[in-house]
Amino acid sequence: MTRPLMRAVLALALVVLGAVSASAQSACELYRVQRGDTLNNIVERVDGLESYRQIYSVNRRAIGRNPNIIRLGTWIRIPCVGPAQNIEPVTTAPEAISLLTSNGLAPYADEAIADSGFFTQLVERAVMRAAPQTQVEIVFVNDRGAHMDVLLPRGAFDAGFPWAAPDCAGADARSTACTAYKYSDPFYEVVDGFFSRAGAGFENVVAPAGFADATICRPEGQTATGLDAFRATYSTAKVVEAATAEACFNHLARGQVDIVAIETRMGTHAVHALGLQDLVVENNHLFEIHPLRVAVPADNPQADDIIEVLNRGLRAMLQSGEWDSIISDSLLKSAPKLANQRSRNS
Amino acid sequence: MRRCDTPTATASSLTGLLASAALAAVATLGTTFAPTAASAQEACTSYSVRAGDTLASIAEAAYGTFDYQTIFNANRNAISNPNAIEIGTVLALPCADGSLPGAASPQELIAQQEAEQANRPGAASVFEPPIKIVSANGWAPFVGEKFKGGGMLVRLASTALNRGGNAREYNVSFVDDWSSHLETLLPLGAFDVSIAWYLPDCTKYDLLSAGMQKRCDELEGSLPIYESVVGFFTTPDNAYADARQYTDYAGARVCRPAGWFTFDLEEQGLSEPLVTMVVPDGVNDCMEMLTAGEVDVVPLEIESVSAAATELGIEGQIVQNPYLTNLLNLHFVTHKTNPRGRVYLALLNRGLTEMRETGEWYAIISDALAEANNLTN
Repeated sequence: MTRPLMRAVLALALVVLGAVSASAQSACELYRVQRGDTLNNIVERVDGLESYRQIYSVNRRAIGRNPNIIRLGTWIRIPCVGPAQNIEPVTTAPEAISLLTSNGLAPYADEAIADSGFFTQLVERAVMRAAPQTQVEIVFVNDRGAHMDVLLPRGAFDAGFPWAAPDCAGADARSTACTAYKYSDPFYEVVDGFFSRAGAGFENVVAPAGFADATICRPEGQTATGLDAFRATYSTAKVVEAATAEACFNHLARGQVDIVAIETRMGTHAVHALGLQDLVVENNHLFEIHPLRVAVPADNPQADDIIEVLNRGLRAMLQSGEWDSIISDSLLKSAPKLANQRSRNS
Repeated sequence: MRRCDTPTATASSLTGLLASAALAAVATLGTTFAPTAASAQEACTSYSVRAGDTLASIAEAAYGTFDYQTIFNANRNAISNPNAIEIGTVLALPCADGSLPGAASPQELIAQQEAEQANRPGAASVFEPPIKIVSANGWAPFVGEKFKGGGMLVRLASTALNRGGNAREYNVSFVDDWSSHLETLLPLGAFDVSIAWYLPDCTKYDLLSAGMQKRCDELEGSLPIYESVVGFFTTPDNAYADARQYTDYAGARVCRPAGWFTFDLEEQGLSEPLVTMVVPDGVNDCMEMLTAGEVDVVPLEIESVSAAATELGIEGQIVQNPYLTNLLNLHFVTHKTNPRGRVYLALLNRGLTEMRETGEWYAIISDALAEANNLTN
């Protein structure tokens, strides 16, 4: 920590009493480590907390590898302690849940990245929290187009992710995606958007009509993860599909397409993997934001129990801060410079 | 020695954006000033640029101040580089209340937008918690709790979160220690969005100081929300008053308040040991040190300098260099590890885009600047 930073933190403690309490230890707050503190004696002062692990698990980044050493002045998050924190395990939980996902969805799901992607990790952890005895199996099948049409309906897997729920209360009520599937609560909200070559002008387009003459590339099997709201955009534009996000961005780099339409974290991930960050820019005007969920075939006899397990575990993680912690850690790992800086500081 | 010409590439592309926005604003307001360009440099008229004019000289003639940021804001369709305005360019010289000549007042336009788009406060849930926004006091006229809605940039954010189909809950807090925003509050997730920060051109990563590289490493920014003109101020008799290029400041004592951006100076080669950096607490300190002869040059936003000079009553004792300006893009920022950071920037961006289309962006800026001027006068 640099000297100005120490000053900054000291000043902070004086200024923000309203927002952050520096002395009281209560749940759901930030706390600044004082002289003589240990995780154990902090836990003792917070009603509802039982083990130092509850604090450590949501503050690994701030504390580092050794929970016995906490540095003076470190800000840590005291987990929220609500009814969901001490969740009752779902008694009707299945003995095992098999979940189907796909590679090529980094940073959300891909066997090649840490923890197989943070969406994968969120789903696994949710089951662990709400049904500790339940075995979780995650299977990667890369033909995502076959997931909802073939593999899930045949009962080969209990559930699949990540999927966007269609508008089952409205326009899409009669679609197969609504009649044949039940959906968990939203695990993560994503932003779909458009990438183009820097300087081509498409980054300044503020209305879908601006893409009327463009050729748009979309990775296969992505339709269910959104961009449907921009269907009007595509009605006049030429749309081509490529096998992967990387293939689309290679087409873009070679000038074979004008736009790549893709979820923006996945797009950014692919652009960096290909080293195209100076060539490719994101349109910052047109977005579609929507949540992704776990889909369970409605005819699975345990569909409701599976959804209950997932939802209960998800809610507990959201309330304890574990949800934030899992995603932040994953985002940190995917930003190498950021990770280096962190390790230098700690 | 590094040397970058202004405006930067980022600045030019932004100019294109804002130009179309300003154009749209004009169209919305039904302004008819363009064909009837007058030759007088008077507020609330349009004016055709003649040989020898600078934006500062036009502002001086029309408004009696060197602060031409208002003219710049209102004419983004016509001005790309404030140091080089083209002869014959027709400029709308805003009226005293900030409205454009022959158009609705900013207040009318804001009221009209508010009425058309009644707030739709969304119900926060564990899945969609309120967006936690943080800003700080002491940065007139941009932000501050004493201003309506927390000041211009906070109003732009809160309005953006009610436009473009947005309906999420949000709250705004003020934590006056700016450094803590980046060092502590955003990385820990205590707040989601900080208002507001200058972001450097991260494609020039290797030219940047460690502090600015850190911003590239750690932060994600919204669309530019405001483009500030930075002027170089001296006392009239100072040896550096006649600088024609950045290198002429070699040996000068340069004042920048603590915790403020420095990348624009770094990109121009204005860092130690070429110059001596003096880093007091605030803008007023820099201005007082300038008039006391303790520093030579204060390179800061012309609006901040104007406000400080008025407050301190030293308007007649300082001059702005007519040859040198920098353009700086302000952004709402999130930390790269914020799980919902991308969603929040997308919400802000689509709101901002709509506000530029409707003219509400310029209306809020001029309304807020008028308020700040009234408070200081």
